[in-house]
Order: sequence, then C-alpha cells, then structure tokens
Amino acid sequence: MDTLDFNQHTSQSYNDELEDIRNLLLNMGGMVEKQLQKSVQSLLSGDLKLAKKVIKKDLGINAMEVRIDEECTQIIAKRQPAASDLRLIIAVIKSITDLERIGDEAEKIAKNAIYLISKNYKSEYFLEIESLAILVAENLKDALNSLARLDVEKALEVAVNDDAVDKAFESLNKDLIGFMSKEPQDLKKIVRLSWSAKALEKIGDHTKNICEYVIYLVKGKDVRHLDLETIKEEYF
Amino acid sequence: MSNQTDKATLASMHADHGTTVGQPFCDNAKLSTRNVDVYYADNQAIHDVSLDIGRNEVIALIGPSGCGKSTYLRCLNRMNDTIDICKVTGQLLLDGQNIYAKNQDPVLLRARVGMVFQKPNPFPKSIYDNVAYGPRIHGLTSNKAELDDLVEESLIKAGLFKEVKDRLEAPGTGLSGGQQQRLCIARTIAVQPEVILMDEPASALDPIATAIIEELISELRKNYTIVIVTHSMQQAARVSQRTAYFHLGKLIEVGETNQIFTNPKHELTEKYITGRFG
Repeated sequence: MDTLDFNQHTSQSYNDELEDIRNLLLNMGGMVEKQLQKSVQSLLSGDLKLAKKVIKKDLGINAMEVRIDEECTQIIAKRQPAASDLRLIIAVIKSITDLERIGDEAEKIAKNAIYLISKNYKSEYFLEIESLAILVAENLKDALNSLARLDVEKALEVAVNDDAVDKAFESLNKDLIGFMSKEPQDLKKIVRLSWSAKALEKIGDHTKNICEYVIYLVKGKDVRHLDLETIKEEYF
Repeated sequence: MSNQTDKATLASMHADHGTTVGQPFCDNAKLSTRNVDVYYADNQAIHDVSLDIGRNEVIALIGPSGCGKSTYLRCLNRMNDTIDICKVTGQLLLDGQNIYAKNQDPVLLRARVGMVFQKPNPFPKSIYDNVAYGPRIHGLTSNKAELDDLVEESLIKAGLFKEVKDRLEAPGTGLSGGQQQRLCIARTIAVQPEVILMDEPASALDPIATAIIEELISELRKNYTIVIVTHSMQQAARVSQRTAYFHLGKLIEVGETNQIFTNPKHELTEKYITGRFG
C-alpha cells in the first residue's frame, strides 16, 4: 500500500485536520531550511545582523513544534487514528522533534558566527564549511520533498547520501584539528569552526531520521537502526 | 459523499483480491471453519470463508454493517438454525468435531459454545435463577449446595458477585444495563462453555460499563475462547489478539490485532479502519 490518500475520510473535518497538520509540518520544514541557510550565510559572510535574526527566529520554530504537537494530541484524542492515519500522526510528531533540533543546530551556528564576527575572524576553512553546508542543505531539501510527496525512493536516497555528509565532516574535522596545532593562538576560534561543522553533521543525522519516518509512514516498517543495505533488500 | 470511495470501486477492489490476506489459520485451533457459505433463501450472505479460531484467544470480527460478521458468528453455535430460510454449507469443526453433524444436538452445542448478545436480555426471573437456569436444564449439579456454588462462582467470574450478593432473589431486570450484561455473561459461563460468542456486547453500555466488560473479556480469555463482533475499532484493538475483517460477506484480511490497526495489508481494511467508508 504505497499510495496513501489522506483526503478520503467519510468525515470532511477529519480530512481538513490531517491536511492542516501536513501543511503545518511542511511550513515548519520550510522555516528550518531557511534558518540553516541563513545561519551558514551569517557565518561565511560575517553578517552579525543576520546571525542575530536567526537566533530570534528559532523561538518561532519552537512555538511551531508546540503548536503541531498540540494539534496531533487533539487528533489522537478526538479521532483515535488507525493504520496510515496513525502512522501519519506518529511520523509528524517525530519529524517535528527532529526539525526543532535542526533549528537548534542552526541557532548554534549563528552563535558561533557572532563569536567569530566579534573576533573579526575569517578562515580558509570557510570554503570547506560551505561545501559541507551545501551537501547538508541539499539533503534537507530532498528529505522535506520526500515528506511532502511521500516519496520513499527519494527518502532512501537521502538516507544513503548522509554517508557523504559524515565523510565530509570527518575530513574537515581532521583538517581543523591539524590547524589547531599549527595556529594555537586561534584555538578558541578554530574550535568554534569545528562546532559549526559538528552542528552541520548533526543536521544531517536529523535529516536522515526524517527520511526514516517517511519510510515508516508509507511502508509501515520501522527502519530505524537498520543498516541501509538491509533496508534496501527487505523493504524496497 | 463526493470524497468517499463509491460502492462500485469497493466492489472492484474486492474482485481483485478474491482470497483472504494474512493468517486465517492457526496451529492450535479450537474452532476450524473452511469454505463456509451462508444463504438467506437466494441471497448469499457469506462467501467461502475459511478461518481458524485459536484456543484461548480473543478474535475480533469487524466490518461495515451487513458485511456478514454476525451471520458468521451465529454459524458457530448454529443460531442460524432458528431462521428457516437460512442455509449453511462448508466445514465447521469444534475440536475437530463437525458442528453441523446430523447427530449433533444444537442445544448441547450451545452449552459448549455460549453467546452474549448486543442488548442484555436477562430472563424475567431473579438474579439467582437467571444464572441457575442453564445448569438446571442441563443437569450440571446434583443438589442445591452445588448449584449455589456454581451460581456464586459464575457471578464471581463475571465480576458481578460483589454487587449482587445481598440481593440474589431480586429480579435480574432491575439491574443497570452494564450489570445486566454481566449477568448474561454469568448465565453463559454457568453452563461451563468452552467458547463464548459475543455480538457487540458493549454497544448498549456507557464507557465505564464498557471498560468493565472489556476487562472481563481479558480475564475470561484464560479459560475460554472468545469470538467478539464489534463496531468499535478501539474495542477490537483493546481486547483481541487477532482481528478478522469482513466485507460484503467475504473475509478480506486476518492478522495480529497489533498489525491490523497499524499496518493493514489490504486496501479495504485500511479504508474501513481509517474511516474512509462504513
């Protein structure tokens, strides 16, 4: 049953409620995507105003998480969803937790940016941070698309792509550690770069989680903690 | 109505899936039915249903009104015999014995396969006599003391004894709806059945009385095999280990209750339990 339609209930208001939840989730995804992009931009271009804006905007994402949670609770209480409806609600509740954490990681990047801007620091490693950020942002965009279209093939592809994010992070982190010993006077600043890279890597992990919820929602299989080969063989 | 799946589409979906999806059979079957067809005169109400009911399991039969779940339930203790135009074919075995064998006395069968109905229907007699009625006609006890014990034990098992122990001679019809239904369960248990059929046993009860009946079903499962027909999806999910979904007289899907309510395999089951029709 790979084709799910949440708009065919006898109760039109139930259709509307589920539709609202999905729209809110996708809105939240869009907000988080922007936060990631702006936080990295503030770091790379030394834009203090933008970094502060990102930190302020995180409150909106937190509020969105609470609002969607509340709406999901109401649906569970009023409708007692089952089967694909139940999986939708569970997937939404779990996805918004990961989206909120992606928001937190973007906020961390913005805080690192503020520190580095205050020290007037620029680094040759900004380029590598940018490459890592592009990979992560691309994956997040694809994950959110797979969530919007319930596209499990795309979700699996993104989960596979997270390996590239991990590898890019490991390589960058190794370089930064080497850089720390070469430039000990900049240690505190380089650590901030390393934290920013770590935040991007974590965003990659949260993105992968969202893809796993898409697979759960569509296929009804919990693929968390399984290796990708097993997932491909057994569920695709 | 525009967003509902229309009847023709549902019928065609079913035509694509002639056989039952899931696990209709089990190793430790108490009741075993194969290729059961039921007709009311020329109308076929049940089409080729094959299903095992496991020992000491609670199996829930669900489906929209008119899907044949109650008709199937009533086949299991030959309640359909009371309807002249009703004809049952196929194989129905209780512990390997043919339920429809010519030498099978339906009254004795119904003592082994008891039934609780949607609306509590106590006899217009005392609470005591309601429970004692079955044991008396089946000659299950040899003296008053034994009968007293059996009545008490049955009322205890049905979770009613504490509430009625001081008024056993009061009329059964004077009890509340939930108590009356538990009295009917005590009456069923008193003849020491092996299987209890329940046809929407809690649909006429309030949420508290329903919770008591559901708790009781879980308790009774230790000693009996229970088949329950219910319109409440949540009730089916709460009380049963397996769930069977009927549609237009056919058995569409059978599976572990946990699986049916989170990840049904058949599109019709999905549509029904998520409220897309029915």
